[in-house]
Amino acid sequence: MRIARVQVGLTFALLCASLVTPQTTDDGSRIQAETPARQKRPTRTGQTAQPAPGQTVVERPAYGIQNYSPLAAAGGNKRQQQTFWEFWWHQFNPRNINYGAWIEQRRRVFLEQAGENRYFWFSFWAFATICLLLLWAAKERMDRKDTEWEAAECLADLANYADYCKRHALEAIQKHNEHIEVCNRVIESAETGKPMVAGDMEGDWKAEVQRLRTDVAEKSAEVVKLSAALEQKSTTVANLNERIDELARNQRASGNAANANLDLVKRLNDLTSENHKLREELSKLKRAT
Amino acid sequence: MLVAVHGFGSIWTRRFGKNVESVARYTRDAAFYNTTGVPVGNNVRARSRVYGVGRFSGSSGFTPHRPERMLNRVFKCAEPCWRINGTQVLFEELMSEAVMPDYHLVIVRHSDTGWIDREATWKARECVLVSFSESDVAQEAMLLMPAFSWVLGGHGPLVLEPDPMKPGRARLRGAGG
Repeated sequence: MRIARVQVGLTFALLCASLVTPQTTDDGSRIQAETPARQKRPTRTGQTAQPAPGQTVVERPAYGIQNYSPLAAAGGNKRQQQTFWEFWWHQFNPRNINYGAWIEQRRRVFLEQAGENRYFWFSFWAFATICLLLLWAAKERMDRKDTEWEAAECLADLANYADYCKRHALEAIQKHNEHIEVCNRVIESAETGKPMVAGDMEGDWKAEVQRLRTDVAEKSAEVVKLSAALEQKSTTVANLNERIDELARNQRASGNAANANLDLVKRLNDLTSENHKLREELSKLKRAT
Repeated sequence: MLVAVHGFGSIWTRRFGKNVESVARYTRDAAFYNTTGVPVGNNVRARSRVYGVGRFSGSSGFTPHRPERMLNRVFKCAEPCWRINGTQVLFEELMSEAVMPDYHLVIVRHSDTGWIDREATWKARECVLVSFSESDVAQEAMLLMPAFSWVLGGHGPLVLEPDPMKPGRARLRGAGG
């Protein structure tokens, strides 16, 4: 606790010294920088007899009647009992410094110096102007952002409105075309006498056309796939035929014509029938498309 | 999955390697992106209706100076991933031998198929749409199509028929042959 107090006191003393030393008035006279507490310490009654540095022992008054203090004799200099708050106040401010008076003194000094110094006021107004300009620029920036947002909202509204108009225009054009189509059918039916197709069936008709187109595409893909498979089968069969013919020729050449390879013939027959079936299926699909 | 390349979209972009001092910055570390585009005036613009890219890594064996050399070649690819900004198909490695691909990267243009009505069913369910560009007068689509799948345009259905003798080759064939 004691060490902490000492540290606080030292720090504060250094701060005071750094604040006090450069302060001078215009005429060069040094401002009293000592704190009020430092300027005059309360002297004890009993310590008045201490010799000054310049004094000699001879000049001191002798102890005796002259130094007698009735208050001290009555015990008036005894330390009073401290209250709780006094104790803690003393802990925080052991030197009993009057900071209010010190601040007031510094404030007066500062006001005297600032009021007389033209450069201070020039700097002050320049700083104030810069601050105002910065604030003004920030406000302008915020206003510009707001304006941009408003403009973007307006543009979005316009874009949505244009989209809405375009969609409705297309719907109107489609309705008009349908109506004209119906009118044409009416005119044609009046001319030819044939019954008119109901106009509300057009949507179903279009969907049906679309479905049929998709079916045609799928069937076409299937036809191409089957054609490719058929072509591959045909190639395989042709190769097998060639091999069988070659085998037959070899067997005839060797004189064992009676021992024909029955398995190969059977396989050839199977492939031929499969080929026939694929051809029929392909022709059916082609007829369907 | 294995993908055979049969065409490229009209727009190429590239991203070089981040290491400035690397000698492979413009080759192995680079990436080349291909997507669809349509002619607008004298330029080719993306005009994407469905955005996606095919990404060819520089280390995959792709030759950016002669991309036509990659046609009818089979690449090993990652599965298509759908990101916030679009679909991406990563072509990782060029296959050296002839293998049967799972998909074929096909570019479909309105000049081949006729006008495609995107509101209706215009492709087989198995086809994966990577990118689609459309202007008022032109269309271009990049598709991953399995064999014997179809697309439907104004000219009728076109079926992708692979060449049985050459696995990397395929062609879009009309229904009438």
